Amino acid sequence: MHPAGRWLVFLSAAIAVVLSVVLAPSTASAAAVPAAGNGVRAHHPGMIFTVGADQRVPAGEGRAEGLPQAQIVSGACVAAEDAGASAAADGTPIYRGVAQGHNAFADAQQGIASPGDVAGHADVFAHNAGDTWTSRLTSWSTDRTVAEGFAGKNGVILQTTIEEMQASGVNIFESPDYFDESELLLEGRIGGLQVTQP
Amino acid sequence: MTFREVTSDEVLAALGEGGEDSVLRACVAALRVHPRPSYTIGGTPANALRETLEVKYRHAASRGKTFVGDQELLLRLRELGSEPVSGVDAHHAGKHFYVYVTPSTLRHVGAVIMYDALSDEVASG
Repeated sequence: MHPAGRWLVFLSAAIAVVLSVVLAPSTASAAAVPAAGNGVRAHHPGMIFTVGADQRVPAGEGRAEGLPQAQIVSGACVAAEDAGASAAADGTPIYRGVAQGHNAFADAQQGIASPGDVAGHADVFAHNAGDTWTSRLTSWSTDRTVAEGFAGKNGVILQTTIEEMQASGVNIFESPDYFDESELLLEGRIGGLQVTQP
Repeated sequence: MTFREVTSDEVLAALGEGGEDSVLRACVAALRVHPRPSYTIGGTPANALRETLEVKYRHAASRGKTFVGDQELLLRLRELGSEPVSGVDAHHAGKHFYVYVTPSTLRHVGAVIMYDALSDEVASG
């Protein structure tokens, strides 16, 4: 082998060893921090909060500067058709009810969760209090009956799992949940969701 | 619609003492005692906010929550139609204080107090 080629092989191997050492602890810690029995993990400790933890998003979090780019979850669309069965079996299901006539209803019918404003705030207090049209969050619940209440008779219920959202890189915020809705708040526009009827 | 951050002082200055409305006065007092550094003032059309709050209130009531001022707020939101409304809130000792305001002026639209009736009875008993 040409000396330069041998050098490249050595360099590649060295990088692989370094990466395995650097990445192993963080992967392990993410997998080893399940929340209180609900499968939520500290995937992105700075952004994703475990359910039941006493952590709050300060109002300043709602500032629009430097927002992460809102995006439709890639890859999820492919699995959408059979996501329902696997969702219930393989993770913690979460539900979002959207009523007919809601501004996000047309998107919901297509399996898309649309926030009021993808460039809006992420103030969980304001969102939980109902001021959602300028929020980049969408409301979800681990309790399907809560979603049914929001969907009404003619709406739709979007369904996925916490684990699927985490795997897709969706940021999950803990809600203050003052209305006892078992609420989680997901950031951005999310596609490929299972659509069910109330 | 866009949103902005306002300080607690700005909110309190706009709300004053709450006038003759006892619910608003209690909420303002709570905001004064338990302020956050700032509040996000967005703006959701009143009719959309009303629909959301009706579901939330119904669900919370089924979980034992009691409301004061809710009917007056919902009626006011109905009157406002598509006018934007935002809110500020304070929470203390199991009681939740909400003041809904017009985003541009921070003038109050309505105020609601929510609390857990059972806990309140236990606490007072």
